[in-house]
Amino acid sequence: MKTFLWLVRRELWESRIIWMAPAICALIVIGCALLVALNVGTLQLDGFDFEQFRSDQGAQKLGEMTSHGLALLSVPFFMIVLVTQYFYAADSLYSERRDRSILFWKSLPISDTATVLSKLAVVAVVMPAAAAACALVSQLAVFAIVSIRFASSAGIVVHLWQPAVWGGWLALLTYLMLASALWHLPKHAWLLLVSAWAPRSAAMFALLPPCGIMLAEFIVLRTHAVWSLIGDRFGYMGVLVHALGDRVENGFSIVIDGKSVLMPHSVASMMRPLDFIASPAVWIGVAFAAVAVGAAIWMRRYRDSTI
Amino acid sequence: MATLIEAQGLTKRYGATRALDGASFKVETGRIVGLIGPNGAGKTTALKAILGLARCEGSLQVMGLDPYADRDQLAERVSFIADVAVLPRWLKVRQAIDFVEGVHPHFRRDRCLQFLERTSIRMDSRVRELSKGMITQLHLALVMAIDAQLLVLDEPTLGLDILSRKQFYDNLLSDYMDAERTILVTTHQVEEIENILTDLIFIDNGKVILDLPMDEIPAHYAQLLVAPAQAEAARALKPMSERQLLGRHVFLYEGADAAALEQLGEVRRPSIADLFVAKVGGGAA
Repeated sequence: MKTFLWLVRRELWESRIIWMAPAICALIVIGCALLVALNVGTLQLDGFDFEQFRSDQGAQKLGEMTSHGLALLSVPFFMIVLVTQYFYAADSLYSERRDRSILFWKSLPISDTATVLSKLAVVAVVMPAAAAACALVSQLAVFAIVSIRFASSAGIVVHLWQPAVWGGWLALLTYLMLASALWHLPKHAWLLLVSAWAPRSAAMFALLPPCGIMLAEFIVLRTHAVWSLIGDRFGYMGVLVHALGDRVENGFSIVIDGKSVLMPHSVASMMRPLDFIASPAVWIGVAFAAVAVGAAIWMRRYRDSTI
Repeated sequence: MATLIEAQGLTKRYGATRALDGASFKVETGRIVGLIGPNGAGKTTALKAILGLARCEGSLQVMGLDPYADRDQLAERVSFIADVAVLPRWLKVRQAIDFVEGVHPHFRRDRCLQFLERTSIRMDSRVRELSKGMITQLHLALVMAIDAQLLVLDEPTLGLDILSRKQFYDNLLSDYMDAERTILVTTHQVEEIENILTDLIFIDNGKVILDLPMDEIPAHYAQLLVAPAQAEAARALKPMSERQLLGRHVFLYEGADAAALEQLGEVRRPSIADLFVAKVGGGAA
């Protein structure tokens, strides 16, 4: 276990992008919030009727808005981590062969299994956790800025800090992080495997087989079964659909384009952990990941170590 | 003395070529063994086999273990320096020390720091900021602070200037070597390790063609320097090789009668380089 923690720490030393990308994102989000807060007087918010939030119903509404605002504010962080995860995983077992440092790492009593698993842990858990932490920090900062800006309406800003709303958000964030770690596991395991094997840029090689198969399928059969099988592992739609459920059972309606749409009271109320865990798609993905990680460990252990 | 490494009929095929072709040798505890051979002779393959990085046919035991199957176990007791360029360039000196201390049960931080104090390496530098000589010193500091029984060096001084090379071996001898430890080294710069080796193994085309303790070399091999007038007589004694040097003829003999040689001219102990040229170069010519 001690060795494993050192291995994870080594990854943080080597790939500073793991924490720098979300940290920079946080700085940008906070910077934007500051700019808006300083200039908001010239925007049209001055005529906004704050009094409508003074009732109990208004407080609940503000809580709901907070919940959605928090979800919205976390989007850039999770889009960025999607990209950094891809390149980190593709590079992880390739760069040590390219610069031959694998010979140094292999001179130490560290098993190939521990090495590969440490990289998987970083891409599946540490990177999303770093993104979530930075998202949370920037959310706290943005809400603090908003609260100070509208401090004159003291009775209202307190509704922005409802513990139930923030607690629900924390629960949702943690849940989605774990769910997407499982959901994206096959993709990351595949990237590690290609990374352990590729003679050249693994980021490119990783896309070739799936793209080739999809193209062949389309040309020969005019179908896209492979895409429907793996396509939703690339982004978050798949995990959102499986982990949150696609129906909102009770909530409040808003009107978009003349149509009434039901919005959940809080995004957290949409969590469906049992459905997610019971979903075959999750376990098929995990099984594929286990095979791919096993193959990656085997590659690192038994193939000729340098390029 | 205990046998540390024992190889019997070690063979490694890469497609049609044989990197190792039935190589057999033994290395005993407390020795400094030079594994010398031309490019592509199988030296690195032999080292990889000993380190458990390559699977070979034949039998191979390192400290009683099969290095390929028991690599994880062996890694605690064996250190190796592949060559100067393998320390990751992004690594900071401080991180390297922390990491090795964190993962190696036999690493002694104080020893490592003591050694680094004598160099101009700063703790905050990254490997990419260090010169080749300094990288080697850092690697050596890390390895020397590990209480390993076997140290494997594969061309450890490649690309270093002569001062760094000399310093490398000086440090190795004065600060690292003791009766419990064994060093196995390959290098092309044979003249530099001539005086530190206790045993010599020549390998060519995957086969061991010479395996002797250094102090037994004079009993088997002799170099004879004669004036041109004696050259014919010297040739009659069937030398392994002949060359001319400053107007004299230089012959190398294997298993020749020392008394007979002394009558012809000056008899010397052949250098490793001379032996190597005669053994390997002669066969190829």
